[in-house]
Amino acid sequence: MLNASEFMQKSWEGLFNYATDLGDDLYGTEDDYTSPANYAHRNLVLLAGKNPFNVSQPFDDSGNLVPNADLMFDESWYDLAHRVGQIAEHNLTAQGGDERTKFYFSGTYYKQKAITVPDEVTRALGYISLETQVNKRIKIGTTSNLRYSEGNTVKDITNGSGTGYAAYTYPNNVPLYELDDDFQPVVGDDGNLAYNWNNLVSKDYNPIAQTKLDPRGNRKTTVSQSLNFNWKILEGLVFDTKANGRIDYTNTDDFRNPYHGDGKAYQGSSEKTTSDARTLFTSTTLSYDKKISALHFNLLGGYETEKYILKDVNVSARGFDVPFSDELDIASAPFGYGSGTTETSMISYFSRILLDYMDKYYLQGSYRRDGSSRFGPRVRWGNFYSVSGSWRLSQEDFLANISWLDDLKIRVGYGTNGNQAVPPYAYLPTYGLGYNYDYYVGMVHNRLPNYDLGWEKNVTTNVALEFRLFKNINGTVEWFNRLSDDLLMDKPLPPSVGFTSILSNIGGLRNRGIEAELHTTNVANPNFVWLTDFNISTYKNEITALSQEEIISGTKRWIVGNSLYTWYIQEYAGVDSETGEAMWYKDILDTEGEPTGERETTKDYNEADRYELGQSIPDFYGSLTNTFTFFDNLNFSFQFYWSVGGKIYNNLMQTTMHDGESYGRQLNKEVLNSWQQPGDETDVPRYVYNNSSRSSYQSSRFLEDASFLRLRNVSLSYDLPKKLLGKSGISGASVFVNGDNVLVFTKFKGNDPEQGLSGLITTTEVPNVRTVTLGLSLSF
Amino acid sequence: MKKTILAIILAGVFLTGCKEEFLELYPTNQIDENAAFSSPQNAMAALYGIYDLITESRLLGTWVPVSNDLRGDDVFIAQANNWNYILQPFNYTWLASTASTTRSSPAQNWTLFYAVIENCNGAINADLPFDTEGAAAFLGEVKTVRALAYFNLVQIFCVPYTRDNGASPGVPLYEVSDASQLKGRGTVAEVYELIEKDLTDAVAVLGVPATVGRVGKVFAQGLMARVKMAKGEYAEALPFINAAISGAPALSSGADLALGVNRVMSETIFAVPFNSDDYGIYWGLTSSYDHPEGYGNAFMTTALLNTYPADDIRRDWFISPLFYNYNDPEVEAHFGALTRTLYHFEGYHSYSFTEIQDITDAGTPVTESMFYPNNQDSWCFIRPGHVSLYGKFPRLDAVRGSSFGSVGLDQPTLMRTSELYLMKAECEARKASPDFTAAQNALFAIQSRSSASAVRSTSTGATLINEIMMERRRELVGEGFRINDILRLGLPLDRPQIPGPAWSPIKHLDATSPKLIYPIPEVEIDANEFINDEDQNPGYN
Repeated sequence: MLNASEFMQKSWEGLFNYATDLGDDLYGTEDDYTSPANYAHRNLVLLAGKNPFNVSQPFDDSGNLVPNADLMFDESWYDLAHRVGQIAEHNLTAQGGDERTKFYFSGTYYKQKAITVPDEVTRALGYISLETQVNKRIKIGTTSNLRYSEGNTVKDITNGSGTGYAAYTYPNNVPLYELDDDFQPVVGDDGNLAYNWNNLVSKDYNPIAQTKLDPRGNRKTTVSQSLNFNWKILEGLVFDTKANGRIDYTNTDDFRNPYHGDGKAYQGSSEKTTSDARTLFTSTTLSYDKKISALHFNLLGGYETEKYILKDVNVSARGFDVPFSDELDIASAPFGYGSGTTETSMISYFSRILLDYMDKYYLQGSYRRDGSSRFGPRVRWGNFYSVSGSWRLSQEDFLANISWLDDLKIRVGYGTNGNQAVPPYAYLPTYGLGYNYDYYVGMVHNRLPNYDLGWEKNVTTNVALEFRLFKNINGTVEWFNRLSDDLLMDKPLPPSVGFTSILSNIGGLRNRGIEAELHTTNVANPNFVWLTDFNISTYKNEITALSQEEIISGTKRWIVGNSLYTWYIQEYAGVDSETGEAMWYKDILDTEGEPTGERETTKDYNEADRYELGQSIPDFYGSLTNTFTFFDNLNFSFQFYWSVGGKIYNNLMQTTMHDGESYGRQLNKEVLNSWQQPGDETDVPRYVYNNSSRSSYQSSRFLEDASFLRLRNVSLSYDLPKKLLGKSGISGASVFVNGDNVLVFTKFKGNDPEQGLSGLITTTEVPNVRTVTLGLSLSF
Repeated sequence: MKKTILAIILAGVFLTGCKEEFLELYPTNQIDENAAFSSPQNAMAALYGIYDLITESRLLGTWVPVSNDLRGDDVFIAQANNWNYILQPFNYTWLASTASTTRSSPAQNWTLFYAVIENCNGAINADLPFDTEGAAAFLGEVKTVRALAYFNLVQIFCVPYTRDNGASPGVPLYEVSDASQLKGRGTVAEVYELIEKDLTDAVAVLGVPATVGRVGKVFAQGLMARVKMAKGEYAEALPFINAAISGAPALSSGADLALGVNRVMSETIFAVPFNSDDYGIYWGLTSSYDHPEGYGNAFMTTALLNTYPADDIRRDWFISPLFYNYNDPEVEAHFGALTRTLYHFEGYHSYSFTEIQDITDAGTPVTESMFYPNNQDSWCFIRPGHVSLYGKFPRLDAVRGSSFGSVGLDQPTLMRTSELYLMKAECEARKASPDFTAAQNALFAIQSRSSASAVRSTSTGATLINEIMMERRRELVGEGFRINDILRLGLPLDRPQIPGPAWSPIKHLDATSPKLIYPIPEVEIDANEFINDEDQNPGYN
């Protein structure tokens, strides 16, 4: 981000360039401008915000800083919005019991102060499990889980009052506190420093002050309890039934102060929401296990049900003229209200058979039938099955004599399963309530019918070879082919039909690739052990069927034969070195209007064509870990992780490289490379106030290679010698230092080259944080 | 033994629920579309839903009218402190690809107007639970709203009918909701044909609406007149105008007029009622013109202000008693050339002009921070050449001289009697065999009720038409008419009167400039096999 001085200088340049472009239009108005520099001098503060210098005209007619200009303040909103985070975690676990009864207990307390201001979370968890053998045949057990967390509600980058938004849009000439004429903070009526609410980005906002004045908290309590009954009817024949109930109770507060920001127009507002989600799960199985000489088999049949009910209520009120607290009692008028109920349910029947013969041949088959309330009656039930087998070749006589081959196994599997990831009621055509008009109840058609919306089916085939050689090298190489049929996706509709999309089973997809992993023991002395783990994966994504010729989904185009992750956006052609204007590519058309295959550049963004520009998923990725153990009690390890070939669309760079279109907003340092004069070779266009060239609009200008190599983890731990512990009652103690995301090597200009499959930086982005952990673990 | 029995009972409980009904779940805040018109109550809820959609702030509630004026020559976005609030229509920078979530974008207009149409089609083709007369009246309302939606679409996205008698590409016409039967663009004439058919049906059956928030016969007649005028059929528009005037409330005058139009005036024909559910604060029409506390970045030109007679009570729209307005050399002497207009809220801060003088005399210079609308000092300075429209669109609950009201509290007017008189004047003067006396009378009706010194015009021909058009601008400024007038009359856009050296990159557009027409949204072209790149409006690919 630019500092205040750079920002003002760039802003001056923008005004100067703009006034220069006006030519004769600059002159002859009532403002009596005398030159482009005169225009820039006179409008700088009005259009770029507060002057952070001690002189009223900080730049000369060429835009250079005048010698006596001193920068009086430089407020980095990026720094204000980020901090060194803190995590504290305490765990206690205990287990024990006797032959008939066993218990396990654990408790955790976790507190995190995130690096993004003001996010914090505190969690406490307790878990108890108890199991007892009632008699020879019957065992009963119960587990109980209690979890409580509280924190503040995260404000994302797109939310104007979010600190993340401020970090990327507020320039450094916006002071946090109100400053007097000598640039000293002003003390307010309450004796504290008065916040500054003037800026050119968001009206009457100060996101840092708002973190204090507009608290937004959430609390979540989860209680879950399970019961288990296990009856060994006969030797090998077991009946097992289990029920689990879970309640998630959440409430949130959202307060807006009456003085500034969002709350001002409401004279302050406060919203309270509560939600109560209950899940009841049951599972009943009957299994039979038998061994007949070398043949071992296991049969299992079962039945499961799950029911989920969510009820939520929200109420808000306004008028907090006397803001004692955020309680609604204080409010002078009600404001908003709502409630809702969401339910889903599922029933499954399943069976499985396992066979193994002589520890050499293994065969497994399964079949299940799932019914989901998310789908309509016609297609509600899905049938899925799988078959897999493996063969331990190394057990065969013909390989028994190969001394260096310790183990060799071939595994083959084929199976289907289903995906029901759609919102509840997605197949039902409905009118949504709540579109009230003139205080009468109103409703609006909000979903089209799709009674055929059904299970997405995945068919997976995999073949793997597992081996162990020379006692200390083992590994796996696996080929997989995963076909998805009836893919569940939003199918875009032309908005003229009244809807922009319909959730449908729209096509087929294939993910095919290879994963390999290798583990070696390089040295294994009593005083020194060195282990290496290596893995590498590559896969190809291909659309195999589509309900229509092409679907353009945001920044991607889906056509059969392409990847789901193929970028399809305008291609940036750089900057015209004579004029400093941005250019894009467009097709040259023949007389019929069809592309000839040739391309040319254009300076009109409207004319820019979209092209396929690589993929957001990597070509391959993998990791390498080395672990060293000295004298049995000092461990040192480090892990490298890499990813090669994926592209990320750097939307945060786009926000801060507006080239003057969002004049008065923060800029990335890259803008300092902007075009200055004919002959300049640069990718950054000329910086102009009120830029209307669309140079910063969506294009490959912001599409970056996200290949990286990351030192993901370094860890050092030391187990204290038993001698030292003496009779303290402590049976073991170790101390450790752990570093995550220590180093990253990449050409990517954003915070973090590791992003989701879509290759877009999410607006709640928290950079993959470098974390250093110190720890002590004791056992008794 | 006891324990075992207990466990078996539990197992029995866990096994329940093994039934198909267990999977039959229905939402509680949505109703099945098949039940949408199953009772009169349900059908009315669907009708109110349609009204709610078309009047929300993203459509006729705020951004369509505001954009229509910003694209014209009388209203503009301030150069400083504009928060980038809908700059695109003002600067003519919309793209086909701008997301439908961007306020007032082509894609947003397109998507939401078609959502209105889809809902109308659902109602029009439903088996209605009313008697014959009730069903006809219900259909009359729905068809009027559908016509209103198509009329907005055809004006925003298509070449004006008057340019080539509607031969240019139109917008897809759906009379039945069916996502499997996609439509191409057709022609502008076809769109107008459906609009006129709907309005003819509506005029025949509609009566006086139950509330000012619903459409009735007069609104349908007035809308038909707008449609005929957009086609250049002035003589054909007159019967509808005359019928509408005879059924419409009398013209507002005096205080009722001076208090502005963001409320139910005595001459209101159709207005969007305030509903606290929709209270969008900054996203309301009044907020767009409310520079002290709302978004308030849209201002009127001084060029238009200077055309109002000195005694015109409509000057209150700009120089409202809510404000003390200082627009004289004395203030300029105190505050320097930076400002000529200073607004100060009565009842909110109680400074007198003498006190203002004291403040400046005490050496407080006019600084840039005083231009911040939210400046916590008492003053809101407005740059030279910027005229506030806030007095025309005051907050609904504001009381002059005592209460400031709530930011954004809105009741936008969508048709009032004044427009009918202005249409009458224009049509009488423009029709093939003009009746200048009738035109002069209609014009005088508007002028005389706001200015005591008004004299009946004796002009004829182009001079009279010019007077009528200027009166139309003065009366309807800020209400969303200007760009459509420019388009239907085939005028070029010229706006040298917008202050600041060429603040907008668009100072002039030829009458046939492709920029004047919005692009068909890319999402439509991407998903509709009958609309391809070559069907895009010129200048956008």
